[in-house]
Amino acid sequence: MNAQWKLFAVAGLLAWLVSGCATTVEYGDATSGKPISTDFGSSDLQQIAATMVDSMLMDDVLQEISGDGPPLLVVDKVKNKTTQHIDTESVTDSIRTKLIRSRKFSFQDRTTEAALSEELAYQQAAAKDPVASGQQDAPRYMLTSNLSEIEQTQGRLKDVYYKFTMSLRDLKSGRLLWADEKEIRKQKTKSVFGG
Amino acid sequence: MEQTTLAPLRTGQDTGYRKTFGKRTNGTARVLFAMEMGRAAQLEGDFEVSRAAFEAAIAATRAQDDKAAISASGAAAQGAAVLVNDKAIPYRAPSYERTLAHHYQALNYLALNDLVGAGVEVRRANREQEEARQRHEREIEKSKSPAENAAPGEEADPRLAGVYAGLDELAGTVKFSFQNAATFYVSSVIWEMLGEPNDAYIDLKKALEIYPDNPYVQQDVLRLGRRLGMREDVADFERRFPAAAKAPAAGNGALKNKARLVVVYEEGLAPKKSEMSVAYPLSSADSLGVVSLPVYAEVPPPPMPAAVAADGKPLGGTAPICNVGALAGRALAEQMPGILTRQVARAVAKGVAAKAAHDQGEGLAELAVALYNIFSEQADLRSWLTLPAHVQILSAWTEPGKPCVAISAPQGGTLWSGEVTLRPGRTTLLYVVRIDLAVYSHIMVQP
Repeated sequence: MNAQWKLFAVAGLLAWLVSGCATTVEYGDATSGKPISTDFGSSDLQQIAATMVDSMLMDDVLQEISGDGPPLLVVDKVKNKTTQHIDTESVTDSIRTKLIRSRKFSFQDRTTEAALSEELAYQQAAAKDPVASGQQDAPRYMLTSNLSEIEQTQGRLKDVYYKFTMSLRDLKSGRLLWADEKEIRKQKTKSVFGG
Repeated sequence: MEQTTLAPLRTGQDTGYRKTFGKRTNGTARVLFAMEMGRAAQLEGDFEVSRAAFEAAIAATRAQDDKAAISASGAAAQGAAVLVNDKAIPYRAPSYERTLAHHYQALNYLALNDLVGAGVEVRRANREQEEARQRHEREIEKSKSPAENAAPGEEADPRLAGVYAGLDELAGTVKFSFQNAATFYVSSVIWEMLGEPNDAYIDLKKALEIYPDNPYVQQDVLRLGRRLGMREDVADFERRFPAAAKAPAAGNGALKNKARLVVVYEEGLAPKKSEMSVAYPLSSADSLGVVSLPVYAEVPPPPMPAAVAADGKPLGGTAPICNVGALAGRALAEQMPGILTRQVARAVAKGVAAKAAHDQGEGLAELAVALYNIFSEQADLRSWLTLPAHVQILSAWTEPGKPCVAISAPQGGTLWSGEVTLRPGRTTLLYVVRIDLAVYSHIMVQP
């Protein structure tokens, strides 16, 4: 009995030691706005994509161009003009996904063009009633975005300012129908004492 | 380093950079070894490994900058440095090395066909150079105030005349270590590839300030100035550079449907630091101590222009745009006051220990302290050694196609030749590095 008790104690101690040293990993809320550095992070990305898309969906311009049902839209890849390697494709995807879910616009999948032309070529060669190429609808509207950054350092204070600009253009008339911008400003003060 | 990496680099043999630098990228000199690894891997065409190594160096440098002004680990290292030598302090890359790390990282992104990534590195290099310039201006401002006796490094200590003379000889006409026109020029090429002629123009003007005699910088600044409608600037440039103003590459001829070939030609290896012992009075120890200081004793040979031809038709000769050895010499001169302060503090601490051992009259202890002082007294000779000594450029507008481009030495003899893809309206960057007997090259076609 005594020996068994000792064994439990040792096992318990070991477990405690092991867990004490282990790195803990937790799920975080992707939209929680807790900045950990002045870099452009995932929550900034979520925030920006959401705000900009909401702003466009709330605008009156949407009703004007939706006369014949949801207009066909192309979302151009976000232009990265910052000093950080940002996966702008991921920001672009977030924007597109939010727009698709709003059901206010219709989209074409441009990422699978190679597979599409292969399929069309195959249909031309082998199918009974092939889909002719050059029959797709042409998107009339284009959404373009820019992300730029201004950094300033004064003594121990670092101030980083990000600006995200988005605009909607009518490809037929060339006119700019809507534009908006959102700014994020992050400041960091270097501590005097630390590790 | 000489045996493991530099010797194979000089002869074009495998440097085994993974084995040499892999483990060392965790030590106190991690920034330095990561940069050495990045450069060696890039020369051997391993761009993904090089990109990861430079990214590690850049991140570690940033972490050093973001550290608290007075940190426990930093203080410990400084304390160790007082007792041992400067090598105990983690390596902090001087500004010119940081800028070049971004420069080579931009080339990595270009080689990996990521033009946006190259743009990010160009912006980072620009920020680094801008910060170095601002730091310098602040120091000038400080030294103007009457409270300060002399500007650090400007009014050199007469006892260090020998040290500064060598550095001045190496630095030559280069006045500040952040005057790196090669990075500004490569930046302008990448800006143009990205369709940002205005940013390209700004960087070309900065390159022109540093190397006003480079004909390709003159032609490009005129071409972009004309395109952007910078009338006053263009009139000024036309007056200053009449020969360049008439060149077709300055936008006078029809450049439409032509292709642009940019050659970046690097030569040799950056100079190495060596140690110099200087007698220096130690006020608090009442004695004359010896301090070891890092110096540059050798000046690399001057740049040799190379002739570039496409299918036998001459395109011109390369022109110098950056003397890396001079930047290194100037950077060391700028750091010298800080190095001297630490060396003197160390000499004083060691002198006190020797005096204590002597006073106690223990012969053996005295001997041990004296021996320790001699052997631990070493100058910090660390620097990025795989950097080139000189960078030269050439820029030409030519017929698109796949010509055989040849680069030949001034004495004759082909250094490099190969087929280069030139697309209409696009830029092809031909990057050639010559280190003694070895020639490394890579062709980057604008995506």
